[in-house]
Amino acid sequence: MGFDRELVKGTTATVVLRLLREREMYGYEMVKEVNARTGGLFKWKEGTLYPCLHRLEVDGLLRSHWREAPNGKKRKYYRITAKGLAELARRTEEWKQFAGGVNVLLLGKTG
Amino acid sequence: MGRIEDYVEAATRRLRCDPELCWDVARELRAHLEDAAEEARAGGAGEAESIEAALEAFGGRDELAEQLYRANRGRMRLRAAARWANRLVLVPLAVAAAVLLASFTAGAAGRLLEPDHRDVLMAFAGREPRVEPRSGLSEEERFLFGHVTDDELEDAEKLVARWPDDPVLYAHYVRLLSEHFDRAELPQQGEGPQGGPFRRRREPASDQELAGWLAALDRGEQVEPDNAFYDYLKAALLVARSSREGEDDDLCFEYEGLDGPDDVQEACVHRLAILDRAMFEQSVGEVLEGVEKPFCTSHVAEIGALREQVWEPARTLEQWAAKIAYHAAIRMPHVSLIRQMNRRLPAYAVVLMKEGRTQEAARLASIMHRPSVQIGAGADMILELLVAMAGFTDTAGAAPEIFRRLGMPEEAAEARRRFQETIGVPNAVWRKSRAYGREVKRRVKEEGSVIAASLMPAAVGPEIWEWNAALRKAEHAYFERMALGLTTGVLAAVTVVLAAAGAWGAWRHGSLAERPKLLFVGWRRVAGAVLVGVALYALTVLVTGAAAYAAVRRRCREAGMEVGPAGWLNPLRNLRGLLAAALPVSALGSFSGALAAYRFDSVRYGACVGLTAAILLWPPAFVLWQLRRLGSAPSPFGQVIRRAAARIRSLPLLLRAFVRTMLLLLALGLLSILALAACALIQAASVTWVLVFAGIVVALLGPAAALAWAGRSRRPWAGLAHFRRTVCRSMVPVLAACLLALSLAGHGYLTWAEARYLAPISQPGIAEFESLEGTMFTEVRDHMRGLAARETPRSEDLFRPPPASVNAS
Repeated sequence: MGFDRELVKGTTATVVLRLLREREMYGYEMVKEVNARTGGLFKWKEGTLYPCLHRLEVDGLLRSHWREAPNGKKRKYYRITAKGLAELARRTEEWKQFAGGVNVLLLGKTG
Repeated sequence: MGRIEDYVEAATRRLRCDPELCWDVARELRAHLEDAAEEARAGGAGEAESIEAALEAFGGRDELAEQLYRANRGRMRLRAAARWANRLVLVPLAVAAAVLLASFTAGAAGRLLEPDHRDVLMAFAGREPRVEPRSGLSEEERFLFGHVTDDELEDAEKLVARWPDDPVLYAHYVRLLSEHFDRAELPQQGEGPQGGPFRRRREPASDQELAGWLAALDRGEQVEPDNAFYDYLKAALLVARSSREGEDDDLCFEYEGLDGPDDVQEACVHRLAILDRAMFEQSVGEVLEGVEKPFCTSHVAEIGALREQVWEPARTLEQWAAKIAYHAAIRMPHVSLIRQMNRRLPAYAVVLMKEGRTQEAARLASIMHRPSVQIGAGADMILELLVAMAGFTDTAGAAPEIFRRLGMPEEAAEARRRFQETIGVPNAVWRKSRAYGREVKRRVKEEGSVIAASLMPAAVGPEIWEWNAALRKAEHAYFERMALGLTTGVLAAVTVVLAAAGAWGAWRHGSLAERPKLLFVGWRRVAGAVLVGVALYALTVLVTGAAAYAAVRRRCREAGMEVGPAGWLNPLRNLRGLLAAALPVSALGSFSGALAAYRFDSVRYGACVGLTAAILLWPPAFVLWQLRRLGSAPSPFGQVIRRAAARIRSLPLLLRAFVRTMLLLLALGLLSILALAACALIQAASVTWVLVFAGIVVALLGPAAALAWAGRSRRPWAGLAHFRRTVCRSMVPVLAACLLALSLAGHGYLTWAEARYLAPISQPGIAEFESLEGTMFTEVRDHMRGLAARETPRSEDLFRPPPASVNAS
């Protein structure tokens, strides 16, 4: 099963920042990585990834450059900036609180 | 792949107004879709199914187009604004700056190339040198330039009215006034022996006008009673009015010319027709009053010094040359009148002799050279001195023959001795200075100063070397500025053509937002293209400069000018200039090469220029080669090179920049060496060596070309039309920016350098000329001063004219 579209959309930016914290990647690579990690549950409409990446780049959270991928083709790689890392930390914290709140409300769990 | 292209084009359609961004995003989406389709194919899907799956996973294209637009619209607006600002502001500014510089070049080159302008100094100063006074001058100071009423005489008159007792200003006024005497009283062009080609026709002066002039000269005597200047001018005026010089010779004599004893010259005293005896004898009376006075000066030097105080210091070579020319062109109409008077004194002695008034004739013969000696002793300008020398030759040269005819051999011998002694002085200096002048001219040319070379013969003296160093540097800055004008002119033309082509393309497509698929994407890539373009351009002008340098160097050698390591045209001597303004210096070379070919009409120089043109073609050839490599796949050998390039790319930023710079310098160095070798071969003009050289070039460049070919990329080629659009749009602002920076920085630097080099000699004054040792001017003037001091006439020796009543009878 896939997640609700709005739910996925709301977390895309945070997931992208989290992925890029590990290493620089290009768009398709990110999609593959997410699919691999979530076992295919986390299905993006792949096209929506790019507006998100561009917005993050315009905001200065990411930087991009073209370089050769291991398959010999040129791909546009994204790299997280220091500002992006700070934003990721903030969003992660926010998510924790949000998820904690939702858990309490829906499942009755605390902490 | 057609469906992917359609999808990508539809998804990016809202980004079209920013072509670079649009192409970049399209490329990114296309890569993603291709990867996804490829993976589907690897999983066993067919071609059509794999593409379908990839597009399905990507989502709806209309929604994506909207989202992409929303995500990028901020930066699109910013970039669009920057692009339009570039086009609307930068291009016109750059072109205006370049046109200004180019107009300077055109003016300077036009002056230098004009066939009649053999004299470089005048070419620099222009035919009507005009030196600007410094700002904030008082009205009195501005009078000195004639800038108040545009009539120098009127200004001088006002100055005299303000300071009536100032001898310098009064002499200035009288000197200018004498132009009216000159034009009214001397023969016109083609009218007798004194008709000069430059003399303008004027109606003879009325008696009333003459009386006014004489009154002005009387007033001068009151202002400065010891100055014989006014007496001689009065005498000259009366002599001109009261007598005419005929064509017949009364008396001839020989004398030694400037080239030594073998150069025998002959001068004759023409028959005098006295129209008004009383007036003529009045004029002789004025001469006799003058010879008793201690000095004779027109105060030109003082006026010159006054003018120097109100000039702006010369900041450019042209201003400097204009000042020199201004000094040289100072008006001295009085000398013609005095010259005529001097010629008529011996003629009058012959008249007296014929009339039997032998005693008076002898007395006149003994003192008639005196005005010339006094004028020579007080000469401020070379023209005054030359007139004094001519007058001395006319009078002192005729004196021995008059004494001989009067039967006075002792006086004749003494007069002959005095004449020979004096006439020998300028002759000796002339011979010495001619030899010295040749040596000086040669050395100056070796040092590389055309301006100084043109000045040398006029002001021969060792001290001029102090000027030469400054002049040479300033001259180099001047020519570099000229070359910069040429360079920016070419750049401006290219920019305008590209801008026009871009505008035409936009108009043809009916939209300012052109189609995507561009070659240069993003500012970093544009910056890279700029760097390559600038490097190519710099290299081109460097190479063409070297070729042209070789041509000029050869021409210098043919002209007998030594061009050794210490000689001029040696680029190593101007290393700092080369580094500071590599482009202009190199373009100067190009300019000089073209100039050489044009001026000397030589096939060999034509060949040099041809080579220059061939070298100029290599940047476009490089671009075409770049295009060619876009559409092909790398060979296995090419993969090795690409991996090496990838390793360089993976280096840290600074190290990567360093490695790339080194590689670029290596390539530039190699090409420069090749170009210099080509120039050397052109000088040698040997077909065999040219072939050997061509072989070496092929041997060196062949492997390089093979390596480059092997390493060719397989980036998709969007087509020539796209490339053209890219060049038109992307390169125009880049070129404009380069142009503006080059014009402003280069022009600013070179103007500053020229002013700085000229600063120590920014006020070339009369005093400096006068203080030069060993010149003809100073040697002859000093001799005349000695003569004037030695031969102070006594009143009782002087010939006095008989009373008018006697003559009337």
